[in-house]
Amino acid sequence: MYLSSRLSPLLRASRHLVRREELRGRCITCKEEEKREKRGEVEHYDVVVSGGGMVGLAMASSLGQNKTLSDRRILLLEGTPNKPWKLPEEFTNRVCALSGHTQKLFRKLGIWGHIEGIRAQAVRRMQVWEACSEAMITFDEHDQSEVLAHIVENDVILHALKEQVPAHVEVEYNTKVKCYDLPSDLSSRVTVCLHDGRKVSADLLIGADGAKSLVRQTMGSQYLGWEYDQMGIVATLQLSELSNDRSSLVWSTTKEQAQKLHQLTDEEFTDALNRAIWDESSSNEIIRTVHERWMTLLETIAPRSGAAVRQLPPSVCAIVPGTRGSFPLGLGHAVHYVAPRVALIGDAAHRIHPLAGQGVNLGFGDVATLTDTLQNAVLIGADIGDEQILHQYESERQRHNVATLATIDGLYRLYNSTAPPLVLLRSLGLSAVNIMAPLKRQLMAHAEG
Amino acid sequence: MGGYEKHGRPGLDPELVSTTTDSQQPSTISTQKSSAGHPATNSVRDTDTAGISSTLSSQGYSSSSSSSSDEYSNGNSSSDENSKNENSRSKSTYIEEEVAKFRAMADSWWDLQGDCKPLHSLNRLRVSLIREGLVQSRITKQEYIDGPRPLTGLKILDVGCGGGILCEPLARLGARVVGLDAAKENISVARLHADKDPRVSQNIEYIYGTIEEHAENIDDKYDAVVASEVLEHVDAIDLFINTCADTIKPGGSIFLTTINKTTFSWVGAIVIAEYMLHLLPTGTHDWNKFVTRQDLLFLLEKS
Repeated sequence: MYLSSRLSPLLRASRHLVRREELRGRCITCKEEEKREKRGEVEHYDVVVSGGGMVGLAMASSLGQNKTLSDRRILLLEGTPNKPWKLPEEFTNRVCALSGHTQKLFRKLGIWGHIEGIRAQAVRRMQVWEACSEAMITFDEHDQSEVLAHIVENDVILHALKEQVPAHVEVEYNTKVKCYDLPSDLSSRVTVCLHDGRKVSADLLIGADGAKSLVRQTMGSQYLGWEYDQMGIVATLQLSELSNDRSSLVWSTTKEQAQKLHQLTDEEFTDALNRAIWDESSSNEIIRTVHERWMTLLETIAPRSGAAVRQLPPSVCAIVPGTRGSFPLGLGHAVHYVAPRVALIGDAAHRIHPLAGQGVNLGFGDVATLTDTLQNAVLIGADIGDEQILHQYESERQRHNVATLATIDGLYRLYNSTAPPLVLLRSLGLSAVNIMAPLKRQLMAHAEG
Repeated sequence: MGGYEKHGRPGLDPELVSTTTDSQQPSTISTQKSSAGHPATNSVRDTDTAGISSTLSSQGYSSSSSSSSDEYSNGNSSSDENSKNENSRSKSTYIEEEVAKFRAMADSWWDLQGDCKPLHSLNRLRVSLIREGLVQSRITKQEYIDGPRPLTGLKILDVGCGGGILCEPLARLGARVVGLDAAKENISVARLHADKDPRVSQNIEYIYGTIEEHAENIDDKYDAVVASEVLEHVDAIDLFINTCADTIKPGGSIFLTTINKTTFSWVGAIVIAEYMLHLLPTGTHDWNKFVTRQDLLFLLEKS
């Protein structure tokens, strides 16, 4: 909790409204129905995972494959139907950048090979350009020996996860949840009321039901969040006429701008994109000069070894037709991830700006930590819904997640402005960090998860 | 006569000792350091009476202790109580006042925010100790060791089980547990709570009585006997340990946890915990009844 309170100075400074969700959606109707219901008609599971997205599926797999948890009855509930999937020829526009830790988790779940076999692209170099000056920062294999990340389409990940869910884990598609009845302590169990009238009870409910999580709302967990006045526009790009190589685009821009872009044809959109990438209109003569002096100074401290190629920003040749889409951007964090017999993972617990590709990796990190926590709980003979034990998961993840959220939000605000002092500050800062290899390694290590 | 489940404080790093009996007479003593590996139970309390840790224990875990010579002069109260509660036997380990303390808190055994929170937190340490101890002594069945229920097939006696705080985790780990306590209220509370989870209740049997009575009445001996946070509440500790030992089958183990008798533990467990921070009701612990490490080892060897 105290970690989240460190966000409060940020909240006060923010121009945006803070939306606090304090809904307590205990289902009264269901409670009364239950009293009239005979016992024994409710099917009982040890763990119910609500939400069959990437993070929910990974959670169910992770629990099912764990030796210590091997005898537990696990149920995964997903509201959408299970559609058969075929790999499309063209890349889809929703992709993730998977970190090293996520890769490790996937290896453990036995799906990494499968993913690489279908389609995945290793990222070996990352470059960030400042629009308002010549500043830039590069992360590449000189800074660390491993690949930075892998870009994988969301559908590929989903498909690989679905294939590897252990046989004894029950997965129900097309099953929507009407409401949850959560206990106030360990003396009773969780009851999940489904739309088709059935009820299911659980020793532990894991909420993996996304940013608008019903589990979180029922918990009454205070949710600190706000919308950025931005949309994320996604598309698949062709960078060069000569090759068929594809590139994935995530363009965060104002809602107004996004609306305008939505109206354009693919060619017009490409032009607009190129203009945005190459636009130097907001750069300032003074800033340029100061920054040049600064770079000279930095050169004396850390002379560039060999030929450090300054890569120019890319030029986009064309947009692959039919791949444009957009989604709203915002930040969110649940103050409490856990309650007696409940735990939140993934977007249900936290939501982040995509600028650093961290979002889904935080969710997979939650999966790994929660699995370990539950394994330890079983080994000391505790009830898996024990809040004292779940708090260990919450503390560990909040430590990491809040730091990440705060940093990304800070970066977003820093780079959102064209005010010269801020531009100068961030340009000088960026260039300075660029020459500090140990600091860059630290940053990459944190981004790894 | 019965032990009392005492809510020791996890921060106290109680003495964790186990012995293995090769034959009828326990002849070897191995002092096991808590294999839980965390002084992390200290996270619950900041008054860390690591004073219980002896110079021996490098990880700050408490050492064993015993006070064989002191048992009769242990506190002014005990000799009086002894004569008051004289049974037909010449010696007894039962102390009426101590039992009454626990009878009074029968309701709070399972209140996770209440007085017994330290005992619940202590589970992390002592369940790991018992599990590891039994696995290492090879009395556990091979096919279950790596699974979720490594103690399957073992029979364990918890002397002074109180509300069953330690019995339930052991039952979840697969053991058949007999919980023994000298206060009827505790046994009722324990039974009520265990009934909430069928997986747990089918593996536990609660018995109201003293250890002396129980030792005479059992048919089968136990693979392990646990007396956790009990020694500081009984009289005639050597008799107590002897009686416990009589109920163990050859190759079995005894696990004892208690608070070390040091100045630091007086400051920590009594002054700070009871009087200053009110973590425990005052009068819960009588420092004179604490057992020092050396004494306990000595007692175990003797029996």
